[in-house]
Amino acid sequence: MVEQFIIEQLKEYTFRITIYLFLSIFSIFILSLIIHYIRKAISKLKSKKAQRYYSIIYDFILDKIRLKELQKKKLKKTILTDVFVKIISIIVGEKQLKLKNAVKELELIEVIEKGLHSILPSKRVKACYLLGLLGMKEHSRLLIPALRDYNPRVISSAIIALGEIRDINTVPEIISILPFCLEAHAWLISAVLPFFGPDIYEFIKPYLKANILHERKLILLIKVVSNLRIAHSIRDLENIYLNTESLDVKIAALNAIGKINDVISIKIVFNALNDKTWEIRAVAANIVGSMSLKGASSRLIPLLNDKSWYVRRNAANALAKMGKLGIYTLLNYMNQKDKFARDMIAQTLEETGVVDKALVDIQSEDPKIKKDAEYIIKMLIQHGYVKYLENYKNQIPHVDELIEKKEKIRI
Amino acid sequence: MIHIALYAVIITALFFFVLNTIYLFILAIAIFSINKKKRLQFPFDTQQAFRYRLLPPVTIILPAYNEEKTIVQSVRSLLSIRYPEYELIVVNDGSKDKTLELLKKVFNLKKTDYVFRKSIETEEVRDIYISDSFKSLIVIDKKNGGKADALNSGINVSKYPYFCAIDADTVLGEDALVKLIHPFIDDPERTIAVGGVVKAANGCQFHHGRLLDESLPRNLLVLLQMIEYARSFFMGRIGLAAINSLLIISGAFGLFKKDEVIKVKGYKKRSLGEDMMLVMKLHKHKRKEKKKYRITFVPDTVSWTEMPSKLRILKKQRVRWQMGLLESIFDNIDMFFNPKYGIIGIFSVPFYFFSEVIPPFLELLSYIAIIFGLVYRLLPISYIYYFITVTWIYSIANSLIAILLEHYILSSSPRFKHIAIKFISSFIENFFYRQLNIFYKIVGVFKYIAKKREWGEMERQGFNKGSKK
Repeated sequence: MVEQFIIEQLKEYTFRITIYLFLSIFSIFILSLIIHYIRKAISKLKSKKAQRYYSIIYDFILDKIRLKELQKKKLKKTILTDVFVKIISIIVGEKQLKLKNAVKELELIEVIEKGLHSILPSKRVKACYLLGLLGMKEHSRLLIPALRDYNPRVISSAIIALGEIRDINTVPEIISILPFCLEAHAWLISAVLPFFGPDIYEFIKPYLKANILHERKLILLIKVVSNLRIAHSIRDLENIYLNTESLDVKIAALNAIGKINDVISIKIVFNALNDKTWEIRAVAANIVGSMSLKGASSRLIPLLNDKSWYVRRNAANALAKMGKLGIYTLLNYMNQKDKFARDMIAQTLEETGVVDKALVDIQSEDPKIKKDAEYIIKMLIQHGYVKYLENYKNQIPHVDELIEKKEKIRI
Repeated sequence: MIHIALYAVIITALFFFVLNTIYLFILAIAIFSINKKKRLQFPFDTQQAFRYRLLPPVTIILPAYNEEKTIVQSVRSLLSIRYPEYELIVVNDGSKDKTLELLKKVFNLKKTDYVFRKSIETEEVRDIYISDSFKSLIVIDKKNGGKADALNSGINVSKYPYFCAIDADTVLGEDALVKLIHPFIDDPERTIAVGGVVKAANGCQFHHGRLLDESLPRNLLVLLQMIEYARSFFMGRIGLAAINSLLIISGAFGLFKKDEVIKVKGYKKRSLGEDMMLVMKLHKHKRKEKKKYRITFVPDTVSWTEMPSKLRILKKQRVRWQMGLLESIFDNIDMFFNPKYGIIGIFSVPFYFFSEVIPPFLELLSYIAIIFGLVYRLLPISYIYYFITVTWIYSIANSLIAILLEHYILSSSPRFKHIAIKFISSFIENFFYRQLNIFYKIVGVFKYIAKKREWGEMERQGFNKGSKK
C-alpha cells in the first residue's frame, strides 16, 4: 500500500514537473522566435538607414556636399560614426585625410569615447575596434584604460586597436600589462609589437630580466625581439641563453641570436652546435642553415653522425641550403652504410628543391652545369632513390636513360 | 503480471526523467559556458588574424577508403579554406576504387622518396605523393588498415604541431579552422583537443566545396538525424566540455595536439569508435600524468558531412557507433566510477554508459509492457500517458532548446519555414525514429557481445544530392 502510494506520488510530481517544464520551454521557444524576427526587422530598417548615410558620405567624398551641409543635416551620430569609420578603413590618400578631418569637425570621436565608457562590454569592444580602424595616433591614448578593463574581450580589442594605430608612445603601456595579463593577451601583444618597429627594444629590455615574466610570456617577448632582429639586443639575449634553466627559453633566445647574424651571434651559435643537449644542437644546426654561412659546412658534417635523428635531419637541411659545397658534402655522405641517414639526405635534397633544380639543369647546354646535375641524379639513382625521378621519366629522356642504365647494372 | 508491466513503465519513465533532467543541468552549464566563451572570445577578424600571424600551422588529415564520389570535391574544398599555413594529407587506405587514380590525375601527383618518423606503428605505406599543382597537398598510399590506421599514418607524416582529423565527405566552413584553433591560442599549454560542430550536408548546395546555400534535406530520415545531431552538439557536448568531461570529439571534425596523441600511441587500430577511444585515452593519460589539461568544444565552428539517407546505411552506422561506445567504455573499464580519474571516472564514463547503453533496453521493456498491458487490459491508460509525457515530451523540450541554441550560437538567421519543419520533426522523431534507434543500439550491444566487428561501408551520394530546390 505504502509502495503504491510512493509510486503514485512520484508519478504525479514527475508528470507535473515535465508538463510545466515543457510549457515553459515551449513558451521560451516561441518568444525567442518572435524576438528574433522583430530584431531582424529592426536591423533591416537600420541597414536601410545606413545605406542612406553611405550615399551621403560618398557625396561628401566626391565634393557634392560640403562639411557645413553635412553638419546641418540631422544625422544620427552613432550610425554616422560607424559608416565614416568603415569607409576610412577601406580608402587611402587625400580622401582618407578628408574624412579623418571631418570626423574631428563632426565630433564623432566623442561618440566613440562615450562607447569606451559604456557599461556594456560589447559597446566598449566596438569603440576600440572603431578607434583601431580610424588609425589616428592622436587618439591612441584613449585606448590605454581599456588595456586594464575587467572584460578580457575589451582588452583584446584594445591591444589589436593599438596595433592598428601603431603609436610608439603607447608601447610601454601595452608591455606593462604583460606580467599579469592572460596568456592569450600576451600572445596578442607579441603578435602586435613587431609592427611598431625596432625602436621598441628599450621598452622591452627591462622585461627580459629573469623573474619578471612567466616562462611562456618571456618566450613570446623573445620572439618579438627575434622578429625585429635588433643587433644591440645580442648581449641581453646571450645572458638569457647562458643563464636560464628553461630549455624552451634557451631555444627561443638562441633562435633570436641566430636571426641577428653578426660575428658575436655566429660564435654563440657555433658553440651551441657542440652543446650536450640534443635539442640545442638541433636548433643550432637549423640556425646555421638559415644564416647561410658557407664556411660552416665543416662544423655541420660531424652532426650528420649525431645520435639524435632531429640533429641529423636539421644538419642535412642546413647543408642543402648552403649551395654546391653543402650539397656535395651530403651526396658524399650517401656512401655511408647508415640507411636512415641516406633516406634523410635524399628527402632533404627533394624538399629543398635540389633535385628539381638538377632535373632542369640536366637539360642545360652548359656542360659544367649538366655534369653537376648528372652527378646529383646519378648518386640518387645509385642508392635506389628513383621514385621521385620516375615521375619525370617521360618528360626528361636523359633521366630515363640514367635510370635504365642503373637497372641494367642491377641485373 | 500487472505489477511487472506497471513497474517496467514506471521505472523506465523515472529513469528517463532523471536522465533528461541531467541533460537539462548540462544545458544550463552549456548556456553559462557559451556566454563565458562569447565574452572571452578574441575580437579579431580573420584578416587581422592573418596580418598578425596569430594562427599556428595545422595539418589536416583526410583518410579515404573507396571515396571516388566525393574525394576530389573534398580535397578541393580543403585546399581553398582560409588559413595562413597548413598542409593537407590525404591517406588512401588501400581503396579498391579509383580514389587514388582520381587524385593523381586531378592534382598532378608525383611519387616521392619521402621518409618520415614512424612515431606510431601502422600498416605498410606503399608510396607518398606530392602535388605539383598544390604544394601543401601530400597523398599517402598505404595498405588497408582501417580509418584509425590511416589517421595514424597521417600523424606520422605530418610536420605541424596540431592536426585536424576530418572525414572524406566533410566540408569545412570557410573560417572553421580559424575558429577551431582559438582554444589552442587561448590556452596553449593546457588545451590538447578541440571538437567542432558537424551538420548535415544533405540538402545544402555546394560549389567547388564551398557552401552556397544551407537548406533542409528532403529526406525525413536525414531531417530527424539533424535534430538528433543538434541535441548532441548544442546541448550535450557544450555542457560536457564546460566541465572538461567530453568523451567524444567527432571523427568528422576535430583538432588535436600532435605530441599528446603520439604519447598515447595515436588512434586504436581496428577500433569501431576510434574517435571516442582516442579522447578517452587522452583523458586517462593526462589524469595519470596529473597535469592540468582541457579537451574542449567550439560550438560556433561548423563542418558539413553527408548523413545516411537510407535505413540500411543508418543501421550500419548506428550499430557501429554503439559497438564503438561499448568498446571504448570496456577498454577503459578501470575508469568506471573510479575517483582516481576525477570527474571523468565519477561522472562522464558512467553517464555515457547509463545514457546510451541502458535506456534502449529499458525502453524496449516498457514498450513490450505497454503493448502487453493494452492487449490484456492490465495497464491503466494514465500510465501510458505518463510514460509518453515523461519520456517523449521531455525529449521534445530538449530538442526545442537545442534548435534555439543552434541558431543563437551560430548567429544564423533561420527561415521561418525551416524552424517550423524542425519543430514538427522534433515531435515526429518520437514516433518511429526513436524506436529505430533503440533497435539499432540493442543490435549494437548484441553484436559487441558476439564480437562481430565490422565497419560497414558508407554509400556516398556525392555533394548537392538530395537538396531541396
